[in-house]
Amino acid sequence: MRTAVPKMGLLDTAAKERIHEASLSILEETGIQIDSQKVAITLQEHDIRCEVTGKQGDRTLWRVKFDRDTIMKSLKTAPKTITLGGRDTKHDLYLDGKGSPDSVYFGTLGSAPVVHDIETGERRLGTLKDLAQFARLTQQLEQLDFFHVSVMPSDVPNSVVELYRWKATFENTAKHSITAASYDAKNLPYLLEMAAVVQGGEDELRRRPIFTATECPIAPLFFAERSAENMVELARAGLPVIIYSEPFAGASSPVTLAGTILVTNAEQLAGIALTQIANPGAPVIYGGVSTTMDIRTGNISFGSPETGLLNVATTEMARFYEMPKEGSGGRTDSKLLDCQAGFEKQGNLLLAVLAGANLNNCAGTLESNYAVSLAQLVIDDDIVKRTKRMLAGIALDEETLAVDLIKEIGPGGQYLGNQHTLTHMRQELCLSDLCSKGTYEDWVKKGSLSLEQMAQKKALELLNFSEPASLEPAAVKELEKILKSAEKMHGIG
Amino acid sequence: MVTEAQEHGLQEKAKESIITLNKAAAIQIAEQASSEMSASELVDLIEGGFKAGLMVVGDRFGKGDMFLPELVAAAETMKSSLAILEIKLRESDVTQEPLGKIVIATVKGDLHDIGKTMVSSLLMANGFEVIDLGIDVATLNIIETARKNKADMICLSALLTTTIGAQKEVIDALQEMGRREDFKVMIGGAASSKNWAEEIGADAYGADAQEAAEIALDLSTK
Repeated sequence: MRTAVPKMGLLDTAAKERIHEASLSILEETGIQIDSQKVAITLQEHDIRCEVTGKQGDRTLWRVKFDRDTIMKSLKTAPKTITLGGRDTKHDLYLDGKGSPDSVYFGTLGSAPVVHDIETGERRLGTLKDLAQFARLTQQLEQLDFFHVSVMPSDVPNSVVELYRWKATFENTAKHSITAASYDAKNLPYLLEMAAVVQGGEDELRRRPIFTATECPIAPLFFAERSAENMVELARAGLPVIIYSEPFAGASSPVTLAGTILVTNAEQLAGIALTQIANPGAPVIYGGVSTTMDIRTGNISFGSPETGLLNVATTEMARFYEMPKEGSGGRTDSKLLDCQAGFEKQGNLLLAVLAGANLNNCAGTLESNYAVSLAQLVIDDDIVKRTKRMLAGIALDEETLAVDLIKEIGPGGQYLGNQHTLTHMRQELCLSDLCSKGTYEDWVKKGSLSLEQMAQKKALELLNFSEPASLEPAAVKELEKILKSAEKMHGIG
Repeated sequence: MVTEAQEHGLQEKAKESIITLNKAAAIQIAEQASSEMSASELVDLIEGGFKAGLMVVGDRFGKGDMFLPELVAAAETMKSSLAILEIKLRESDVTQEPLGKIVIATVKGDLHDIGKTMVSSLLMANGFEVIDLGIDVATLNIIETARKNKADMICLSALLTTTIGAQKEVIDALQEMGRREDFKVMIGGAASSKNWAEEIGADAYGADAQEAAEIALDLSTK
């Protein structure tokens, strides 16, 4: 069957080559800054030019310059397809750097400090319990493929917060999980140990990694100590890393979109080189999540139309290198579940997937990712459902064209009870679980519920009445033991 | 010495150079004033010219007529002209009376610069003298700078939930040194909040640059 699939592109080959060449010249002449002695020494061992440029507090600043050959070699060894594991194979994700339509996935986003409470409506600091609920609901929502850890809990010790987050995540969802690996390099080995327990050993963890680490450069062109060291350590362990470049146009990159794409791409190439120098062939994902600054307030603006365009262009650059891509999908700057949230999310998500980004993180967020909401998560699941339908395009063959049927029914007839309708309606038409579709009277009869109320209802039903995908008790015990020993190292408890 | 008309003319030009973000003109005015004006006239030029200009920009920013990059550029323009004037002022015994002195920094472990720069610019636009220590600044360095410069207020920025602990550290250290009453402390940055400010005993929390400036004005009159 032929399928007409919608696609979107902004850059022609000449434009992509120009951005690529400009990135190489930035990396060769200006370079990037890192403040890790350890990583600088590793790079020097591979004949990469590293010079001390100064000190900031007690940190030594290194300037690292990559030549063309190093970058080109890294692009060659970086894998073009990557498998990300779920707890079971049913939840595995297959990322294809060429961007085939069946390699486009959707998930949550967050690390948000604030939660909009689904029962009281209160806007308050997030807790570990909230995180567990977001993981559980993501597990239940059929359209979502991965869990980008939604909440930054405020009720656990700061020095091991990442381990609490990973533990709650592994225990409450069987889907692949993504977030910063660790905020303290000393905690990374404990995470690796936990992840190996969940997947049944280190080999299986490498084959089907249950988590992907996001490591954020600080735009422009700066890899802080912990990020640089985590990238190298994870690459050596053979575990996937997303180079999470998030420059915002006008503040940490040029206000022009082209200049922002260039900063993003240069950071990506530097990050890819770091991982490939540490371990050629280590899985690394192009993570362009560039956005814009709102010049009136200075806030980051994820919902801007330019963010959608940046998402398309950075995805095209990833495709240029045939590398899997994570993009920012549909995000919003709105403070509530309103029309602004709806159009910002749908508009930008549609652009991202039409360009073919593999991992689209977005669901559940509000307030420029500062807050998350379980009701918004359910609404976003519905937005993803619509988007997947659009992405599937139009099936075109004799059967779907239905020439004979149209002739047979003729003018003035109807298709309502026809076998052709019965055969095709379920896969042809996408049905929303939330949107109001019937008549006004129908809607009143069902309680005159707003979209938000419908979403709240569905979220609570899913949380209260569905079987959670809990981790088996023996594994939970193991995770607890690992967390305890990490706390002991930090002198807690 | 210059005539009153000349003095007024130069003040207007200085004000205009800030409003139009004309750094070259601002520097040229500062250089001319340095060679022609007395110390007390220079103080008037700063107050009635450069700072008045920055306050216009701050006001327009507040109304949405000018944008943040313009505010930052205006503050930069003023800083470069003040640097020239201060050389001459230091040689004299004429002292300036800013609205208040503020030490601002992104706390230890946090490398984020932009939010703090915005607050810094807006504080300057509201007539404060601002000492910006930059990013990843050690607790004792912040306190020592505030003490040495007889600052009225300390502003602490933290973007990350993992670094807001350092905001508390500054307040705790001030407490231990018996210097908590010497400075007002305002916190801000994506990870901090009003609740957090209350929890750690900060005097205020500024949700954004505009609010931070308003609170600083409010605190400085108390």
